[in-house]
Amino acid sequence: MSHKKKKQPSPGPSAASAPPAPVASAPPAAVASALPKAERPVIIRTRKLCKFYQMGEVTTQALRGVDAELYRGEFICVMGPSGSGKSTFFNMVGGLDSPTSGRVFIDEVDVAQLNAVELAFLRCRKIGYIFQTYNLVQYMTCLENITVPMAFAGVPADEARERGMGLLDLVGLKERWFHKPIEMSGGQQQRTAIARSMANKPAILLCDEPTGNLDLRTGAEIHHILEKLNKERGVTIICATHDHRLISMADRIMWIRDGQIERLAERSDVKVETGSIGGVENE
Amino acid sequence: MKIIEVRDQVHLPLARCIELVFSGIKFRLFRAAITVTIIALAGAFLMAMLGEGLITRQVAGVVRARMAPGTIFQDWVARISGPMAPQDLSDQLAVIKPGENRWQEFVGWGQLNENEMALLSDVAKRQQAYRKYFKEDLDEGQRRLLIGPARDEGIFVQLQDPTWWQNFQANLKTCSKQLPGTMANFEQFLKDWQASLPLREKILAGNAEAVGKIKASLLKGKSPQQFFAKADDTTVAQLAAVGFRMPRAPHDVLPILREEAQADLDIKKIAELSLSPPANMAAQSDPAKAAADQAPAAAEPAEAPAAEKEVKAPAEAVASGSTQPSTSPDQAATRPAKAKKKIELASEGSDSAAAPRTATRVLVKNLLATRISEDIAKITPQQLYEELSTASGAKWFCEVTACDRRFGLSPDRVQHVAKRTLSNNELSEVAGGLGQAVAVTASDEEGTTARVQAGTILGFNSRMLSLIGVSFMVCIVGIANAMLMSVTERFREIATMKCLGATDGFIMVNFILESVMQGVAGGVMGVFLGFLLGTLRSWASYGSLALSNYPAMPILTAAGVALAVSILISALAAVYPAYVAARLAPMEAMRIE
Repeated sequence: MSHKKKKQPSPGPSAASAPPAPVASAPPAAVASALPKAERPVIIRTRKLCKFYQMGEVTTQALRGVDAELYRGEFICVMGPSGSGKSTFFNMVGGLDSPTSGRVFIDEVDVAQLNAVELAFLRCRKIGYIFQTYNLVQYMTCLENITVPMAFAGVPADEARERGMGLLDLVGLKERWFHKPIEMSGGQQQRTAIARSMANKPAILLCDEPTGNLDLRTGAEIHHILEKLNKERGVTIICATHDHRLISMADRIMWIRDGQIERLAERSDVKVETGSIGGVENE
Repeated sequence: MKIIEVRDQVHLPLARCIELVFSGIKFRLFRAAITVTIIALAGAFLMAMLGEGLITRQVAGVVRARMAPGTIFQDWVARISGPMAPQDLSDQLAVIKPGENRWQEFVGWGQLNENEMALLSDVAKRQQAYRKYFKEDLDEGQRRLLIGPARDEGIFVQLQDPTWWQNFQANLKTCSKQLPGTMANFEQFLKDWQASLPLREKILAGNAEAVGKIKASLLKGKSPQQFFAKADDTTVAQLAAVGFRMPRAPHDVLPILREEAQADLDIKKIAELSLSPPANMAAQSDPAKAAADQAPAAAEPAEAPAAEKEVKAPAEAVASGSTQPSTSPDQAATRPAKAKKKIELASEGSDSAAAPRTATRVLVKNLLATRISEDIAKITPQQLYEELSTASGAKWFCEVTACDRRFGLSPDRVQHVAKRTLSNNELSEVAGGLGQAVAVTASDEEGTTARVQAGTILGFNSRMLSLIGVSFMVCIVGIANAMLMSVTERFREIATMKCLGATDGFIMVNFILESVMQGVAGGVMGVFLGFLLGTLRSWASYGSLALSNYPAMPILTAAGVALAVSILISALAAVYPAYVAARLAPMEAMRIE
């Protein structure tokens, strides 16, 4: 296994030529977002990322050479119609699948070089996952669900419980730690899932339509928590969504179409209005 | 520059795994119950089979041991009462070894040398193989095609005929199973067999002569039972004089022969006094007397009502005697007198010499019918012996038959022989059910250890084994199917776990552990169920013999084996589903159906 070290940001789509900033320790997110774009530390970098699926005779090209750099501590929303390769991009970036060609660096580590156990390690501690369908383990209580990833990371049970309660406090479910998922509402389940994703203090939070199954009001709770995590804890949030309120919170927005990045823009450059997201895409 | 440190993922401790699996099973209790049921059924099946097999073997051993004296006695009775059949001779020749008593008997009767005996023995062994081929391996049609209507030894006689021999050779190719060994071997065998015939004839002639001598000089009209009842050292010498050889130690066998013979005689006496028509043994040993008995027996129905009337009084006395002890000594004293009077009354109607005996029989039957409150026409020997096997029944019988001077048995003796007869009946019933397992061979008398039937494991034949095998295949497929279903319905959960950092190994262990835990639950239930089933089944077929000779340690071992097998197959069946689960891509968690 070799660790690919990044010496210098290669000229990417949004990278400008600037003197390299010393980034020995990651600056707090608030500071990071205040830095000039080029000086921000990159947490995920893809190089000519391609993923083909062989379906019998037909080869589906899900991703066709994606080059992207995602910065530490940023909140980025990924958009794209279904079949655009958005999910595939997500899987690659989340270390859930390996690319056909090209490379993915997560925190300067080439994911393609990792074996199954190392991938499990990476997923356990570096990345938190939030799913549209919550995916809580049905037979465990709220707290047990949160402590499962800690168990995988080897955290002692007492400490895990303490930390789990802290996380539940963060998402406002401290009183309901003993409830089973089936006894909770969708919003509460998703909040539990967020607490679970934060179990091992990951640097990256990967959200797949986190509010897709929720109504507006409960969705707002999720927005609030995600924003809090992003701003206060400096967690990088990569979020696939069509929820315009979530989009309006993002630092950058990425459009994927036909397996390629169609557009990657600062939110400030995009006009986000209720009911006019389609219009945004057409800008 | 910053490098993240990627170490190997932590392995979850087993206790935590078990805890997780257990909560998972609790959550999916119904599906788990189905899997457990499948395993329990398979385990129960195996355990019942093992248990029954073990008990059967145990019972067979006990029955064999208990029947041995009877078998030895019957064998001797058969040997001195008639000449040997050629088939028996050839069967025995195939199993005996040089120097054994039978071997020496044959040498003596046939005036043969060791080479001739060796030839006979060799031919007999080969004959067994060919006989099995013709008898068991061929079906009726093929047999008719090959050798026509000939059977057993007739086959070898027939094949000496050139026409049949050609026919045999021509048609053999069409048969599904071929001869054991080569054709040349078979030809050689036929020649040898032909050559051995005169030698066999010599033995048979010698045997017939010996039996004739015994009949003329030793039995002198007595039955073999009467002869053996007084067997002693001179008997051994007398038998040896005509070529019969007692086993190794005559003093082991002589008491057995005496006891068995005496018991046979006694039971015959009891049967004669109480049962009609007379017992078969009486008819065999003394046809004249049996014929005499037949005549009064025919007249009996007419006598019966009168006798019944007479009998009522004593019968009532017996009944009241048992319920009112205060009056019983008095009445008991008068009973023999009354009985005697009744016999005189009954005998008035008959001219036959056997009349008193017939009268006694009628009396006993009537009394017995009253005593055990059963219809007189339906009384079976079994009921009589059951009654006599109790102390009071035996005492009653002796009192009733006290008038018959020829019957001089004590109540204890009556009770003893009745018990013996009952237990013999039970044993032979069980032995009938056990079949081949308890067959006592001639060489058992020599003290040879029981031959373990070839080709069986734990008393199972190949058919039983294949049945167990198939049932376990079905079980494995059933468990694998249930586990696969469990994997399929948990795709999302497994994928999520993998997203949270579970390794492939953890997922695999998880599923195998789940199956093993179900295997333990199902195995314990199945073993218990099978144990009950096996015990009940053997109890039903062997009665108290099964329970009084319960092989506890082997059964415990069998339970351990059945449990281990149940757990093993559930672990085995889970390997593929667990592999499928472990290989599942974590991105499945993202999928929305």
